[in-house]
Amino acid sequence: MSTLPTFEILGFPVSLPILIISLLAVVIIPIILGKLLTSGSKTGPSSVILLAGPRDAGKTSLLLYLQEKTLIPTQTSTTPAIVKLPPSALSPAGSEDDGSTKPFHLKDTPGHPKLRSTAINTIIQPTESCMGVVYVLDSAVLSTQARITDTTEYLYELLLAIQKRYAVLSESNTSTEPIPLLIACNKNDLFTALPSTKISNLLQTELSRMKETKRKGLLGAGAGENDDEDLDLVLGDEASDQITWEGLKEFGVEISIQSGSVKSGNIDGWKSWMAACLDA
Amino acid sequence: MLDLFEVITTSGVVLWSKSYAPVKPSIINSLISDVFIEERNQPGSDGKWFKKDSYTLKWTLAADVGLVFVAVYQSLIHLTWIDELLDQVKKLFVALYGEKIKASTGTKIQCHFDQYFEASLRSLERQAGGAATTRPTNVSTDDPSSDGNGGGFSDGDEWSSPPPMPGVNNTGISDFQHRTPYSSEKPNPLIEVTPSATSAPVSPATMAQALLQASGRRPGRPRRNRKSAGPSSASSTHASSGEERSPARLSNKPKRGKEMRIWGEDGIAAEANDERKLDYSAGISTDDEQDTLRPKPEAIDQDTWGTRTNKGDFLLKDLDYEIDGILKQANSAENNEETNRKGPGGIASGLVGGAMGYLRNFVGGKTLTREDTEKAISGVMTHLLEKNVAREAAVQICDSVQTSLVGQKTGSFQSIESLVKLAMEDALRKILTPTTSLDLLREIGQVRETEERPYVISVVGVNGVGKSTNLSKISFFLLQNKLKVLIAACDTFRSGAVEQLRVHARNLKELSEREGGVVELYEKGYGKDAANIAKDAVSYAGTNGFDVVLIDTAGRRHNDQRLMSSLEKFAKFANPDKILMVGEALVGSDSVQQARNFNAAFGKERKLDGFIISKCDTVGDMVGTLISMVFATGIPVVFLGVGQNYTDLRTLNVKWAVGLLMS
Ligand SMILES: Nc1nc2c(ncn2[C@@H]2O[C@H](COP(=O)(O)OP(=O)(O)OP(=O)(O)O)[C@@H](O)[C@H]2O)c(=O)[nH]1
Ligand SMILES: [Mg+2]
Repeated sequence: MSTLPTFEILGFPVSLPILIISLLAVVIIPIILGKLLTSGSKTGPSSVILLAGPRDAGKTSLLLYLQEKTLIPTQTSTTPAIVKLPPSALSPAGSEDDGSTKPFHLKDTPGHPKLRSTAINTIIQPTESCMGVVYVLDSAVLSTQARITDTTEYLYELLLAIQKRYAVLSESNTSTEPIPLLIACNKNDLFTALPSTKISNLLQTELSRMKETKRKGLLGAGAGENDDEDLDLVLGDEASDQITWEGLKEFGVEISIQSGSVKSGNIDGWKSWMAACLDA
Repeated sequence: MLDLFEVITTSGVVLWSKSYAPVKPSIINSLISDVFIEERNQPGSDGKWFKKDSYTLKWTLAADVGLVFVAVYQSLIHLTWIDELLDQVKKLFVALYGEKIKASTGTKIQCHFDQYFEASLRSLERQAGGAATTRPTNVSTDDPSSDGNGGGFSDGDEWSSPPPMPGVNNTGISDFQHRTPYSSEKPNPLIEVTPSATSAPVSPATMAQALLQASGRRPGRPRRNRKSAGPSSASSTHASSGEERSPARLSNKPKRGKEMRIWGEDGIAAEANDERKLDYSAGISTDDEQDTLRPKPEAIDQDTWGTRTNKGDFLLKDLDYEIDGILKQANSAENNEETNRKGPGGIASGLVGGAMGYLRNFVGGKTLTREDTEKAISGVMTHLLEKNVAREAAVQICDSVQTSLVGQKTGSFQSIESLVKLAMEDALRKILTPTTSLDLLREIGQVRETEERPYVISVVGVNGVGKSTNLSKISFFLLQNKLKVLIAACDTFRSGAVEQLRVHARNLKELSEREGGVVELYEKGYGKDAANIAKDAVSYAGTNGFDVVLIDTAGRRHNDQRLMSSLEKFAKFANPDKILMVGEALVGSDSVQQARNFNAAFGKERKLDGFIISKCDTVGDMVGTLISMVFATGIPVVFLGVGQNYTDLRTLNVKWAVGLLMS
């Protein structure tokens, strides 16, 4: 009768099977623990609509309004927030029917220039879900050049990011859905607010100017050192500096523009836009 | 006088606030932008306070739950207990709502914190021996009901100052009626209690109950309605119930602490209490607008509310016990953590905990403490110093990165080192990213279009850093864009400076003539006052249709008082659109001081607008000067000089710079 080989560990006799089992346990348990401890940290949620826009435009207010149905006081955001909302959040005020069928996520991002990379990265990373972008702006401050420039510059970056994502995805995948973008002209309850048609024209002119000076401007440091960076990618058509919403369509950028106000609860247009882009 | 206290999530939601005087939201916004995002502390504040307009702001952070606590008060008033208040409120708030906040992913949660806050505030004020420092704003002093105010307190003698009365004036009540759709259905007899209450001694809680009943909302909960008896009984019932309860309250006392969070059997009664507290606090709230903004509470979260009382009035004394309990618990938890860290706790639980912690080092999911990151941080610090980042800047950046990491969790199979590295990358990117547009051509175009005057740029810097060379590179760039450029030689100090510019101007003319560029030199020799020459040059450019004036100035040591002080006059006379400081990429630890001194040299109203970092081609990947200078001043890098030719001028590519620094 052959006995199983035993070992002595710290003075205790241990048989081989037990040794093997415990060794296995030592290997497997950390992996399981790791999974448990950090469950769901990496994979982002699906059906995300991104809220972006300059500081103080009303992104956080809009998110909270959709959640709580009322204007809640806010301060400048320093971190993004992802919130899961029921489809009923998008049904028009007063009605009960669902605008969409499944729950979705809204991602609020900070508008401070130093923190804009959060929003840009959400678009550029093809692994992150992004069903649509709502670019919230303050229609009441577009009378000063500094604010116009700031509003346009951020929009330019976002549009460029959308175009890049579309270009990358359509190379590898034949049926790529472009990310639609809604320019939500907030705060139209204020008497200084510009109408959306005016803002639309203003932004197209400003974007065209920006494209022109970017073409004429100096190179960025390190340009051309590594080729994988598409530094020279321009927004829209390479041949002309003119930027129009119409012209951007073929580059995978679809733009709508609508006025509204979180304060007065006048956001039904934005809601139905979001519902439509979740349904698509 | 405390003007405003706010609890804000990092995602920007105001979870709770209490205002005693109207304060614009932009006041706190500028604290968040300047100090939290741009990390610019006001001189002398050492990151402890922030002044804006006539206010002083103090704050404390609870990083693990992502909260900011901010107190705003008039700078004229010296409040000694603000730090303590912040600390206490933080502990209370985190103990009461921490779990809920963690689950809420940074959005709104309901918190009925007013009572706790008022009690903390009052006890601190009492300790400070002061009278009431909060000013009653909304509560009109001629309100008849406030006469009988103090009488309702059984422990009234404890209070040097009774809390302001809830807004029981008639407007307050009608306000509630407006807001609640149900109240109009049948007239609630309790509404009439108010006039009578004004004549009899009455406690705030009673008044609050009157308010509650008057509002008569939640018709779906008949039991609560039943509880609200007749109008006459309202005050008497509660006056006595407080006494009935006191023995029970005493016996409860030692148990305060964790137990307090468990709910009692009689949920309904306790809920009713909560309602009363809630309405009481809503009544005292002095900021009407904020109140209406907030949604009416749907249901009281039972987890965050104690079971102290099953019936009867809510008494402030009780609250004090509860607050003490929470604070004691928070403090002992803090101490425990410390002792745990110092030595092995001993028994099995300590061992298991230790093993888990050890495992987490490898598999992730570890919640970081300052000590955990120490090693990785010092590694990154050495790395930054090797990249020629000035020590002062490196130390501060590392410190703020380390602080931001406390309480964070490592991702799965993510080591602390990689987490620290990511955080550092983020921090560097944040530092280098400009807050305003740096598109020079656009700005020139706009000024030319709208103001019909030349755009004025001047360069300053210490001797020999390459002011004239970079100025010529900028002219070349502008000339290529068909702009008319006037170069003003305002270095009237160093011999040879004017001649040097003359050579540059001639070269530039030759290079750009074919494309129709126009460049001219404006010179007035040596010895004259630079500020005057600059002014004359600008007006000459205006009358002769130049687009841009580029002003060269004399190099000066940043610690040369006499020469530095002349810069203020220069800025006033020439009034440049952009003052750019040229700094050498080679300079090491001196960079921080250089940048600071030049930034401060133009007087109170004027600052530098940007840096040109020259000789970047000579330092390889040791581009730390970029970080040092921007970090010291918060001013962006506009250009990089990368060689000897006119074309060797670049704009900063943040991604590239961060890549070099972290490589
Ligand atoms: N008049 C008016 N004010 C609004 C409206 N929407 C938002 N606000 C106010 O605008 C301010 C800024 O709103 P936020 O939602 O914090 O802005 P944000 O876009 O999140 O700003 P950042 O977090 O700094 O990027 C708040 O004081 C809001 O109350 C609106 O429709 N009309
Ligand atoms: Mg926000």
